[in-house]
Amino acid sequence: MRQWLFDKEDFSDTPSVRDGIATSQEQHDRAKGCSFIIAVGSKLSLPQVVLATATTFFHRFYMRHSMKEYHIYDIGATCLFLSTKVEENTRKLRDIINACAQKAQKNEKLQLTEDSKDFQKWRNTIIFGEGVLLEAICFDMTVHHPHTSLIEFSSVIDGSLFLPLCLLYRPECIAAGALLLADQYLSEELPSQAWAQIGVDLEEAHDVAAAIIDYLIVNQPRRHQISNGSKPPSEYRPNSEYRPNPSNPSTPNYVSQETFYGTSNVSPDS
Amino acid sequence: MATEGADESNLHTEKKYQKDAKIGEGTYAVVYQGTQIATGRKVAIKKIKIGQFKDGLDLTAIREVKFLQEFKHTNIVELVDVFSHKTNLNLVLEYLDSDLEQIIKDKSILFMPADIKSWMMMMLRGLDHCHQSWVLHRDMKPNNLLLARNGQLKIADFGLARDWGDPGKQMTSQVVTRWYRAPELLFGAKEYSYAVDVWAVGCIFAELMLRTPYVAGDSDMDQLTKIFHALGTPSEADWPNMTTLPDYVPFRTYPKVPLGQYFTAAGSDALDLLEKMLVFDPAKRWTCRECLNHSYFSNAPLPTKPEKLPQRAPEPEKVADTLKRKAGSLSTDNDEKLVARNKIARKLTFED
Repeated sequence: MRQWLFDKEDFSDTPSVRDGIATSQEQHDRAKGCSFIIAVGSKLSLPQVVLATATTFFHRFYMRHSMKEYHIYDIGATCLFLSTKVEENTRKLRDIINACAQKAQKNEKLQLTEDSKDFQKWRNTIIFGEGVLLEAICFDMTVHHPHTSLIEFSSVIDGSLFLPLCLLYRPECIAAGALLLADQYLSEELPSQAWAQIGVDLEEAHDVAAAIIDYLIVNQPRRHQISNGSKPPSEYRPNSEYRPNPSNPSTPNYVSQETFYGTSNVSPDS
Repeated sequence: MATEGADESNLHTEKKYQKDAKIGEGTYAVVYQGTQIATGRKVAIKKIKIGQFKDGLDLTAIREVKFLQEFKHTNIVELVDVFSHKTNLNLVLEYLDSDLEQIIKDKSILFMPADIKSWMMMMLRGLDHCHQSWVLHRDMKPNNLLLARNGQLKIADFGLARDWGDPGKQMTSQVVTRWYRAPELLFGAKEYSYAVDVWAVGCIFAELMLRTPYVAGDSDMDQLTKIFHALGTPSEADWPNMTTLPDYVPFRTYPKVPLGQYFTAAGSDALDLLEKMLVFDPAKRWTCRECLNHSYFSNAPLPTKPEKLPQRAPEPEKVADTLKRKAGSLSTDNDEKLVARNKIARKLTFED
């Protein structure tokens, strides 16, 4: 795992950047590649975990290879193919190829025959790419996803079962409340060890929240319509109303920052 | 880390090992004896051809690398390194001389009860480690249990292994070599648990005591008949959901015979543990943890120290034979898919 954790500064020294691609362009293309993986995966009705593993492979791959060397769709397809096997949700290579071709050429009706040139090209790319990908990810195929940790955090929610909250609020609202509460614990002197126990670094957690909110704000008009039409807040301020001690000096303040990627213009569909 | 290219790091790995004599060749893989240059450590290098499969790298190879990368345990075979060379995938595995099947079959070797206890303990410890990580092995049998020079037993061949614990997830019942296959699998269960591995370990336990396979059926039906003959046909009370299993068929009612009648030389604590591993209802079958806490392991005689266990002189040609043999020979002959799968699995076992 450790070998796959980088510093933010490493984003300005990736193989692609060294190859002359701007950091902002690379981050844009990373999102585009993942968007491709998710589109193809949805077409094939693959479960979330397969997509999450495939995108993880994809991001790791480009920490070791340049986008000039390997095209994001070629690697995206290969990552998805390997991920279906790793996560025990195999699909026929033929079906994967057709879904890839449809999404890449934006033609939902496209069906390649197996002896066509395009089909062979996709096939060879994926089969060859698999070996390159395996090497790049150091044959490290077990990926631990944040989803699992969220389930572990749900012990906070278990603590709420004694209250008749389910009569008052929708489940997602209770979940959000539990997270906020957990977050409040974080910033207090005493119960913060609760987070240490599950191995969470408070500062890092706030960084993640800030990065996600940044992404959502920038892409909200196109991709993340909130169902009731309300806009997400322009800043992320954890517990601004819940914290009993607002003078707490450790209270971070997350104005939408352009620092995470070095850019704020990530819209994968463009 | 970000600065080291993958090609360089792979090349670097490759250069750490020297390939020596070929010690076995199967349809899908070639196994070499090798040396870790820096340490002089003996290793087995298993070369799998990536390019030759229609669907890319075979699923069994993926499972094997994935799970062995994750597991580091004294009683699980160690994957020392992985590297690719041209279109081949190379697994560097610890070098092991023999397996439990060879020891069981070598009638010149005498087993003491404490020896059996020691092997059982190592087997259950390794398997417990898998189960604690939510992984089912699904092919526990004596020739997948390798023995190191220092006597340590190592579980090998994760080509059929998979994650488990996703409720409602359907899995194939065509796993585990027939003689070690649990009754729920023989009845076609698609949802099953750690209990299939524990059943297999129970069969191996019995085999260690008898020096011959305990229930050796020659078809799935025959396997069930022999199991019921040995242990008595389970009633609805013994195994509540049996009749709802996909391939359930009623069997003749055999009476329940006390295990002691067949295992005349075994101690009562050993028989009690065996009975707990061979409980029909998978929900009531003991877990590895429970088995390890059984008084059998703390009662006298205490388990033999691994380095004092009976050993067998290594015979390289013989091992090569095992590798070439098709594992499908013990499987359902009417299920070609399984036979094919086992043939593939064979390439991933690492008898060296």
